[in-house]
Amino acid sequence: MAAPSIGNNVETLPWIARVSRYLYPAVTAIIIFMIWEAVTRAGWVSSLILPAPSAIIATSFENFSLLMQMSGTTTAEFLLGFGLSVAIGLPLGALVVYSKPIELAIYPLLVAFQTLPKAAIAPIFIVWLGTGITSKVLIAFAIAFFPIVIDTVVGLRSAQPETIHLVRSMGGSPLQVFWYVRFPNALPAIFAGLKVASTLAVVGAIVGEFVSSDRGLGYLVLVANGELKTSLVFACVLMLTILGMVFYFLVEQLEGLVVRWHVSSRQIEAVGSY
Amino acid sequence: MTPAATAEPRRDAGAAQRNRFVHIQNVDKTYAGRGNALKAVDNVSLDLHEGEFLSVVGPSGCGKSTLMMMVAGLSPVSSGEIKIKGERVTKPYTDVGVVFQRDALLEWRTVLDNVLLQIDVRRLRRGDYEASAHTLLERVGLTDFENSYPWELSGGMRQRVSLCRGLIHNPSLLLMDEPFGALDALTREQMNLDLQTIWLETRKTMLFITHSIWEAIFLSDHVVVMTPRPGRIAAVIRIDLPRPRRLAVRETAEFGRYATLIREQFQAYGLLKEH
Amino acid sequence: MTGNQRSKSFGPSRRNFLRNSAGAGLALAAGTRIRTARAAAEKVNFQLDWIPYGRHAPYYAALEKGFYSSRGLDVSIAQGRGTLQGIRTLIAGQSQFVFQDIGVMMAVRAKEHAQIKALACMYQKSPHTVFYIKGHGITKPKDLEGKRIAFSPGDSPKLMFPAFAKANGIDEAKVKWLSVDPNSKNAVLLNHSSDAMITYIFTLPVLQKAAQGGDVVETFVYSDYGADFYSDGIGAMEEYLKEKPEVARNFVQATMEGFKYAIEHPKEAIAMLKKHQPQLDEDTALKEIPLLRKLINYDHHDGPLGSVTEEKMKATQDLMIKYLGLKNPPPVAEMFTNRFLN
Repeated sequence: MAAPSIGNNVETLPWIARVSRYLYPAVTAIIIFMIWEAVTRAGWVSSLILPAPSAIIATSFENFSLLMQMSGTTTAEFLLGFGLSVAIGLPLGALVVYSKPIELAIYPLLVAFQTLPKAAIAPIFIVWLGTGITSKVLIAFAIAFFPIVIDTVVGLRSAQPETIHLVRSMGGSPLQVFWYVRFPNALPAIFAGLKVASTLAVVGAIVGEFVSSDRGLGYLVLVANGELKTSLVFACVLMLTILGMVFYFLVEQLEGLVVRWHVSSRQIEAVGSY
Repeated sequence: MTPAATAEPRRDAGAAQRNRFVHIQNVDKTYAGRGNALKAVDNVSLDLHEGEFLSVVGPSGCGKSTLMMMVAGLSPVSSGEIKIKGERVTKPYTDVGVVFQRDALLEWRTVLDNVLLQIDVRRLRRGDYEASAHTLLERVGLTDFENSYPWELSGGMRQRVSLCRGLIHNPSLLLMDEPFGALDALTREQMNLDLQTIWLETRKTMLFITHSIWEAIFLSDHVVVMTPRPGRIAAVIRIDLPRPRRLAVRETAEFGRYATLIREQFQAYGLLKEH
Repeated sequence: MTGNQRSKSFGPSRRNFLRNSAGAGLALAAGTRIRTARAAAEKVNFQLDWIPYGRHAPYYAALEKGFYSSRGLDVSIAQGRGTLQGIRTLIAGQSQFVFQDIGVMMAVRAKEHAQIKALACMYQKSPHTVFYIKGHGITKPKDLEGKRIAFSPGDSPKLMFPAFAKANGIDEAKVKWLSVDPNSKNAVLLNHSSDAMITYIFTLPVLQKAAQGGDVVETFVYSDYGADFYSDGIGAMEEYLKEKPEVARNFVQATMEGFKYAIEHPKEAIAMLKKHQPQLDEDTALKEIPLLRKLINYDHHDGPLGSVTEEKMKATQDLMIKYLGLKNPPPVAEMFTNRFLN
């Protein structure tokens, strides 16, 4: 049979290619850290401005429970904000596709809202919603939901017309057309939106914390910064980076499960080497 | 522009009348454009009889695909009417299997699940049809690929899946719009043979749209020639070759006569200009 | 202060000669105000402690009246976002002079071994204030226990709060801190999202004006409640002072001239500030000048305006040691110098 063989697993790659996938970035990171450590140890840069990586790691361990506690708050904020943006963004996208009046009414408003810099309206959110978790969740939502709406709209509109004709000729109702064709077809685009939104939700939570908060990693960054505890500031930033990456990674894993079939997810075995 | 209708009279005209499966009467299709309306199909009248294999050939843009869409009920007629088994077509007709040029397989379903999509959407019981699905896929040689995904198959294989999907629910009417148009010549010929075999077994009523004169002659009982836009019927030509037709029949004089007939129709409408 | 004025209206060779020979020592000894050509003006970055308000009018008066430029200084005034951020820019060399809290300068010098020196003190009494709204359960400092106080991280009112707390028997562990973006602190107090708010006394006119629904804004000023210390003044790095003492002298003296001008001509000074801060509300800004006058001891100062006494410097340091746990305090005498004020 003339079917091209397409492997989807890393195991099919030769071992050295597999190892280099982790080796290259790891070695690069190590070299950067070594230079960083040397520069700060030599005192070329004040520790107030840039602490040594060893100091950052040490501070992270010393303040571990504090960091964990603060991470908990920030994580709750961006998870809820992300959840809200999915819960509202997906249906909104579907509505825009299925209802012309809604599309005409809402689309310009959405774009206007998106171009509004959230850092500018965050203080207003705080005044309206108070200084607790609600305002942070809503700021995270406000920043994260637009990509989801747009990508949902694009995805739902990208179904091949023939597939829709086919389902209709099978007697399919509009809901069935949605369920069997439009929605699954839209999933790759939707996931692209979700991945972008996942990082934006973290940003939103921190923006909110910067304006006003009494806990969270953003709060800790400000307070540590204010007390000249620069190592702790970096430790917070490190923690935030890890949280953001883990979250993104989880969304990506989910995408891998759901959207294995899409051309963007396939890995084609390299023919020969280069 | 004179239609040279050299159709030979039907031997059983009376019976044909009664078996008028698909009846197309004075059908127009006009698209409202920006200012100018575009007439795609102009006053077409045609009958398709039960168990008949009818091809429609014509140049691009002559409205043959539009005609098929109207028969399927996927596109409304602008004027005239279409009846299938005596009932007017006003919405998508469902006792039908449709195959498009683009195979329209769902990328996220396996080959087997794509065939069974027909069953799922109709809310029938999968269990009742799984055996047929396996059989159909075996007939087209895809048993080993039942659990593969469409992107793992070649174009010809995908179209075969599409064909199985069109047959699994045992429809009484088949509509095919240039199903082999995207395939290479050799695969196309193989598909013609496969289609003939399957059709001979099931004798479904078939409306088959194609560009290819030879494909039309090879497969059909009647070939309808359509004019360039706005599409009208130039001729209906009955093909009287015995079945099953082998590839070699294409080299016979009789085949050649039919081909000439059709070609002359095209040339009468200004197509296939020789230098 | 004004010695021989050397006019430079002759040819380039004369100018060059003067430039090359004058140098630091000559300028210092003669106390000369050197008129240099515009092209030779020394670029200086001056970082404030905050967004410019009425209390910062003196610096803009000095700028607009040419007190800096006539001394050969091309001064850029940058707004700040808190004490520690400002001190960082000083250490990083991004600014040559800062206007910041002296107590915090002391703490940074002790902790980070950064050689910061105070050259003048403007807020000779601590202007740090706890603002609260009357009738919501706070009548004395100890009532702050269990209440929410809005603060801006890195701000000297927060850094110096332990001194206020200990002087008034407040258990700091019982205070609930709310971090707020500096621009939102007023709103957070006025809409009762927090029970109290700490910042400088200068904010009082703004708060009083914006208070809603008959709310009355009350204060606990640190210096009235047992925590008096030197607050904001001009700071610079030791190294810079060694390198460019004449620039430092010119800067300090021009600034003090600006101060005098602003206090004597408040309306004009505010107008000059408004040129740089168009959104300024002049009426409330004007109300800050009398507060400024009191803080710098305008009417009762011994020695040059803005000068620092070793005694009070020591008292400030003692407060830092006692209440803020300052370790390795630098010798007081090294912390300041009045020499540029003369």
